Amino acid sequence: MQQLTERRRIAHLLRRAGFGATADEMATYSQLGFEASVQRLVDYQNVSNDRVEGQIATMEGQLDMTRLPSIQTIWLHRILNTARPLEERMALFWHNHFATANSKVGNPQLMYAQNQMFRASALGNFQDMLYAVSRDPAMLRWLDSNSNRKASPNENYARELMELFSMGVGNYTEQDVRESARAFTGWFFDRNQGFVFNRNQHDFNQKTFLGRTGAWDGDDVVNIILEQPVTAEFMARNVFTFFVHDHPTPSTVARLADVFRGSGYSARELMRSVLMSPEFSSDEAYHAVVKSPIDYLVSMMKSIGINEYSREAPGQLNRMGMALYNPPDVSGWNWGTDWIGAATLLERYNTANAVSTARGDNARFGLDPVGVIQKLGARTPAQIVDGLLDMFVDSDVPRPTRDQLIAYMTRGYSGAPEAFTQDAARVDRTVRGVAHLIMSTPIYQMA
Amino acid sequence: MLTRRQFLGRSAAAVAGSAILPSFLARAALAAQQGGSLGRYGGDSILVVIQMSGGNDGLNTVVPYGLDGYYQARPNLAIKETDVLPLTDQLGLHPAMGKIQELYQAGQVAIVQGVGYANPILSHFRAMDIWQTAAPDSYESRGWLSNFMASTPLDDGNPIFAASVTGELVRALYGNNVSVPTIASMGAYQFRTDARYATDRGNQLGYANWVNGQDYSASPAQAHIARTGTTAIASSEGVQAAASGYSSPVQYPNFPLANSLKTVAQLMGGELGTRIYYVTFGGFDTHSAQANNHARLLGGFSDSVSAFLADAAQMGKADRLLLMSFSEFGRRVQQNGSAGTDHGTAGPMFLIGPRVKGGIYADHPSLTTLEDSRNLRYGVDFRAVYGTTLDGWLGTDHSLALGTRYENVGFI
Repeated sequence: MQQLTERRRIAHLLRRAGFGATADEMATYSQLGFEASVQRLVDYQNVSNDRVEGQIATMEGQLDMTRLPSIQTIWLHRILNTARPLEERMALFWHNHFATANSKVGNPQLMYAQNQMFRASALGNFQDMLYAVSRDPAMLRWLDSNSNRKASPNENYARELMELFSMGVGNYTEQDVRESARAFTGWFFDRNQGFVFNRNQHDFNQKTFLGRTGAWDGDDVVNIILEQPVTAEFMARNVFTFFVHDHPTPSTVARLADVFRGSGYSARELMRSVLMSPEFSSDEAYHAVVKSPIDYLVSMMKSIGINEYSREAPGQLNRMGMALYNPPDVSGWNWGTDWIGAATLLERYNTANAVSTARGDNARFGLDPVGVIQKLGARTPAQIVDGLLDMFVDSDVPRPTRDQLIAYMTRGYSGAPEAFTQDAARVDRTVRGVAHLIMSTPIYQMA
Repeated sequence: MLTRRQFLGRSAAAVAGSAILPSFLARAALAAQQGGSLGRYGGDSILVVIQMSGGNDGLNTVVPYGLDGYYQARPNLAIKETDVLPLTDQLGLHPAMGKIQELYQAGQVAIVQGVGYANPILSHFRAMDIWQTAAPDSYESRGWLSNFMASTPLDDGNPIFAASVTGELVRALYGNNVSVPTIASMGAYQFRTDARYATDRGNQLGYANWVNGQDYSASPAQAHIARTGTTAIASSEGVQAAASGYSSPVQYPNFPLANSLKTVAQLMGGELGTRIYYVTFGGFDTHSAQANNHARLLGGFSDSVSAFLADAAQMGKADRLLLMSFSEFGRRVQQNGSAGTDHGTAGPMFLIGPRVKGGIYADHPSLTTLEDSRNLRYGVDFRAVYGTTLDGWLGTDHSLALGTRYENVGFI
């Protein structure tokens, strides 16, 4: 098991705690070193994001906020430009964790408000988050809370709260679902006021939930859930698989759960512990997680130094299988190798091709081959390939792959060998081409 | 007899460098060479699902001109008896559907009346999810066709066993870790390389197939990505070969459904082993000014389907086709105050193709004894239509996909 180089550790950290890194960000965080970088990412309240917040305020004023593409555009802008990478990464984590889809909610403004709530509480207290989610208008619409009435409770929210949002299946009974549904009766959404507590529809009687009896309401249900040891374990495992890798050991989960519970359910302290853990910086975690579509696109843009999304971006993300604000169902997206099917993989290859071959009016959306190799100080095929491999995949390819990429650059159109020259067309063809090929190599799909 | 390599042409060249031709391509090619004779209809039967999005007004599509209540409920919107294209002495088609009437007279159209389900939902989103997941009573994320694919050995890893020819996520095809390609246009489904240096493509494909053929046993995730890459590129080359190999004398109408069905025809021509195509077209939510819009949509449907079947016929593939159309709900019996109709419940489904047992199936719902005094009562559960199709056309046991057995409607 090889120790990660400091350079790879930083690149890995910025891929997992953020969405990849620009050259400047690599320089900044490399200078800080790994531990100070973790603190900067986790304690992002100390990092000003005013510039981006100003841009967002302008966009909110200019865009029609009742439309889904508008709120997607705003979030994409945040993801690409934020000075607080972990803030956006956590917003995405919570969006997937409390998966709510505009396809049913049918109200982008409510979805946007939910997203703002996730961002504001991103590394806050999990108890406060659960209180807020239980009152969130988009969530209330999504899980039919207005049907949850005293005379005939609707169990949808109560079930998902335990099954998906806090404890995991098998840690409660159907009776617990029924009783907690009663506790949430009357927690309604009103079109004009947002969350309202409808006293007439609330069941004020005694309920027995997870072994505790009382005239519980929704907040009491949350409190009782947080008394269960399994809750911290469930959340610790979810966070670990999202940020580190798919196979946490029971002792790792127990250790992180203790941190979470011991800190009073502070997401900040849990994340600090996850990012500082030996597991995070291990060989097993490095380049071990499949990039989600948003990771794939944004990390590509950042590596190259592209600072504006092309018009194709939302369509590309959709075809890769990820439409922000529209997870396929309440359990969120399917991560890992489930992102990779024939059509979604072709879309990744083709997005890389679009970025590699952007020219003329579209040049700002793509790679500038001459500029890139100048910045790398690379002239020969070996220097160019090594420079691009470092830029895109931390040079994490076996020697034969590197050699095949160099061989590509030393071929003519017919496939026969042809010495590389600085001829403009040759440089244009092969630098754009080899960038596309690197981004079509399996390791490039890994974060 | 063509050699496998000659038949596959570009596909074979594209996978040069990888040791083994993907098996699904080989099998598809072999089946095409043999003229396919496995199973009741050749084992290469093709289902084309046509989704009419928005809630098609069934009452003005299959017009119950002989039924009590039709003209009373729709004094302005009803189709006049003199305009109806008669099918029986009680029922006829909207006047824009001349081509469907011709197909009906040739015995190629089955119309199932009153299709719906108990406790119908009148919301577009939820109703469409119900039809696509075949689950009226629970929230499911996996589609009925995805469940079919998961329950059958037929698909043998072919990445385009099913194809969605539409721009949107189709829940009917979603789930069970199957990634069904969305081939919105033929151009989108290919491994694209720099258009400025088109002759460099071979070099790039060569590397892509080489790198996907390397050993990734140390990383199961990368091994999956590499395998998927190989089949994706091979199947996309097959799709492009199909596109460039296609030429047809048939004129398709200028209509979105026609464009999609033409894409289906091109893919069929490529003999890539695709058995299910899913096509959608919309505009049916006719709350106001229904008359002209609905005529345009039904005319487009009728002419597009006719052109597509004619195209399939000149390819010699028409008898492998079954088209199934549906909408997420019908519309209210009574016209509204805006020269239109509001969301309703049950409606007709069309099953079209040379091997269909043509005719009218099930009774028309009563127009006077209504649900909530407003809407048609369903007579046939839509899952029975799905089940009949899965068994009779795709040769499976539909209870594996739908969870339980439904009646055989009898149209195939």
